[in-house]
Amino acid sequence: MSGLLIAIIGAGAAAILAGIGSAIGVQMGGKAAAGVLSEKPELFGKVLILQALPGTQGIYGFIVAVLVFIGIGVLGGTPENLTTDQGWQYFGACMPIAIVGLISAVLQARTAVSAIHMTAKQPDSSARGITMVALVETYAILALLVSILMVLGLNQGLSA
Amino acid sequence: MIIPMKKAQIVVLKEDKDKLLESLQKSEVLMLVSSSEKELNVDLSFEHETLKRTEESLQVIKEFREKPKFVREEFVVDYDNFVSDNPRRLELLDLIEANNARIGELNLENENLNSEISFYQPWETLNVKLNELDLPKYAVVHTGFVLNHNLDNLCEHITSMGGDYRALSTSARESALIFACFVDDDKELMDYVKTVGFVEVNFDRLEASPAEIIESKKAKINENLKEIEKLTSELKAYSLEADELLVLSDKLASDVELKTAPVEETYSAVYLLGWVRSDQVEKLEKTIKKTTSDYDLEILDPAEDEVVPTATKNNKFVSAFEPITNMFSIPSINDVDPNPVMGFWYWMIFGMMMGDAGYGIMMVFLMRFLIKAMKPKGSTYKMYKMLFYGGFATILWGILFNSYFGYTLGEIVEFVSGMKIEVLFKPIVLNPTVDIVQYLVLSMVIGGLHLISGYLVKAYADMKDGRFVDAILDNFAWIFLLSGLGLIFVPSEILNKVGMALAITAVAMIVLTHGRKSKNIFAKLGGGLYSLYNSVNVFSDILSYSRILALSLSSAIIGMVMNILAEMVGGGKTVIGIFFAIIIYIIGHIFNLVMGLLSAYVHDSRLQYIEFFGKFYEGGGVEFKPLSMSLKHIDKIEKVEI
Repeated sequence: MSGLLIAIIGAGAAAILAGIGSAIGVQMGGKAAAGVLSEKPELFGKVLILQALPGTQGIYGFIVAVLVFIGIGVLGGTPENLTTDQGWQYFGACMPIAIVGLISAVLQARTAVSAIHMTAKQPDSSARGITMVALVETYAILALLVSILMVLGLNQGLSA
Repeated sequence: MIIPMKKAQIVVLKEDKDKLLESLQKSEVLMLVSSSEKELNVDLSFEHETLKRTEESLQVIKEFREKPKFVREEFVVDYDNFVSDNPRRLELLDLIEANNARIGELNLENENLNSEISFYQPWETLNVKLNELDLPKYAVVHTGFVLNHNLDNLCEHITSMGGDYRALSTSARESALIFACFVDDDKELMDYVKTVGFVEVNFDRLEASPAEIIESKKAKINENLKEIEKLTSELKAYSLEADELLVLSDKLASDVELKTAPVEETYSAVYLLGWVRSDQVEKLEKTIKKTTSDYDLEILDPAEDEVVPTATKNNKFVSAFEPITNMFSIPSINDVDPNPVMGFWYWMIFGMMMGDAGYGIMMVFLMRFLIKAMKPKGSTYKMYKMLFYGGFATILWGILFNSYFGYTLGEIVEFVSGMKIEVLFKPIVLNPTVDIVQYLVLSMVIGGLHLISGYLVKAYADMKDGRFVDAILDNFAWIFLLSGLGLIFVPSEILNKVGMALAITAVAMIVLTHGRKSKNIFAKLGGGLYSLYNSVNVFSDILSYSRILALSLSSAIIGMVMNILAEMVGGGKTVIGIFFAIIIYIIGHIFNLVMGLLSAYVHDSRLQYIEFFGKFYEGGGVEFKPLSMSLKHIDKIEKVEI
């Protein structure tokens, strides 16, 4: 397998897995939110934020994928000639956000669903719910940082 | 700043009660509390009933009212008008309700008429008055429906038995049939027609033909429609007075506030107990004096264990950030108001997370416009205001990062004027997408400073309560440790040594003194070591600020990707290409701005709640809500004399 292909699979995995996680997560939040809104439509703004929170992982995966594309020249139309080793390096760099993004989005969504139910009963505590949900995201952010740092390091190595 | 509270006890004569409560509601100075366990027993059925009726009537005339303009006009009412109990308001309610009920009746009647018409429709060509169907002495007339495929069969049979028939109308499935036969044959024929599925229809024997009946019912429908039109135009006229109903709604809600105000009554006097801001005591006394001269007012300090409501007084900038704190927990009267320090950091970190001057400008204009257009009240207004200020922080950091909608100033200048000015391509501080390691350090330095300011607030609070030893040993130990470790990484030998000394002092302070509250010497040491172990938490707090980098980076990269996409599409310089490029620019950057705002709001709040408030803030207070008018529709009441 050419290194370029492996790198692209890695970048794809970051966007795909994290995107799937976020899609599942936002869907779970949306279902809970719709249930709450059927009784209390005035809470739309509050539950919308909670529903949107598990959506960020997909964006993180997307960012890492784009960074890889920039590095390996896919975006500019002149792909680099990567060795198999380099390809696997990019692949590895994509894995943190791919895996953590997938899982943390789903787990964050479960917290978001609980927080949405809590908001339905006590609209004033929505900020606490947001905080609890955001706590889960910390680990997606750390994985994103790890992926970004690795990809940027590899990009610099390539352009040097 | 948290304003100290005073407790006010007021005694007035019973006949002055209503007047006093009204002026208290006007001046909004006193938060009444119940002085006994006894539940208030007031009859609010009129208010609730009328409120419901008002909302329903407003709903009825909603379709006739002018569509709210994009920029809403402020709804201002004079106080005298507000409290006037204008009888026209209740009258309007009756009129609208009567009209609406009548329209409903007429519509229902028309519906029934229509279904009756469709009942007679198949028989429209029957040119006989219905009561004439019974006239023949030796024949029986039947009317009814038969399925089309049985029609021929049936007709044949009728003819064969000497009867006569006429098919009056045919639908796709069945035909309306009238037939007659001799009285003697009737039973036999009826037995047969049932086997071919004939369904008999019995008419009321009216003195009119089906066509005449249909005609008269149609006339009735038209008459009803005319009445509906008249009633609707009346409703339209009433809708011009909708403002009266809006005032009524707010007046009723305010009356409920008045009636539910906890007041103790005796035979001839009433006793009010409540909280007043210490800077408004005079205003309270003035308010009471204006209503009656026979009163007794006593101002007390709150007792030790009492739940005292909290009122904060901050400048415009800081008060915009109050909802952030209040969503976490309202400050208690014993807290130091966290808002001034928190507001500044929230503002600063928000700007870093957004980090683009273009987005900042959009935020400033958008929020300014929204405040103008929607005229929000209360905490919504403060939220908009907070995002408005946040826009300036975003502009500031955008300039420092040299990021304008994902472009550097140099790129924009080159595009517009063709000049290539080298300096404008370089960021002032750093470029988030390139100098990532530097940005990570910057995030953590900001985090360290944020935490240090948290410990300083705690130290201030401790000193205010007279616990000087705690203030120094507990808080400054951590401040020394954080700043010492920070200094170690500064590339300067002297500062490194200072940092090292600070850090060692801090560790010694922590191990030796943080167990001081235990009695046993081993427990003292153990407590100190445990506290040192807690430094792990402090460092994980600092690492948590790396989210500033992550969010800033993700916002910057998405902006960059949108620009790359737009350039790819518009690169050919064709009209269509440029058109789509502009669409990508607009939609892409609006999407990025919205996602960025959501993330920045959530994660900036989190940094305040978990990392910052965790160091000093307790909260758990009750909001100071003085007796006031409850305004849902009215923006402002003018000419209130206090």
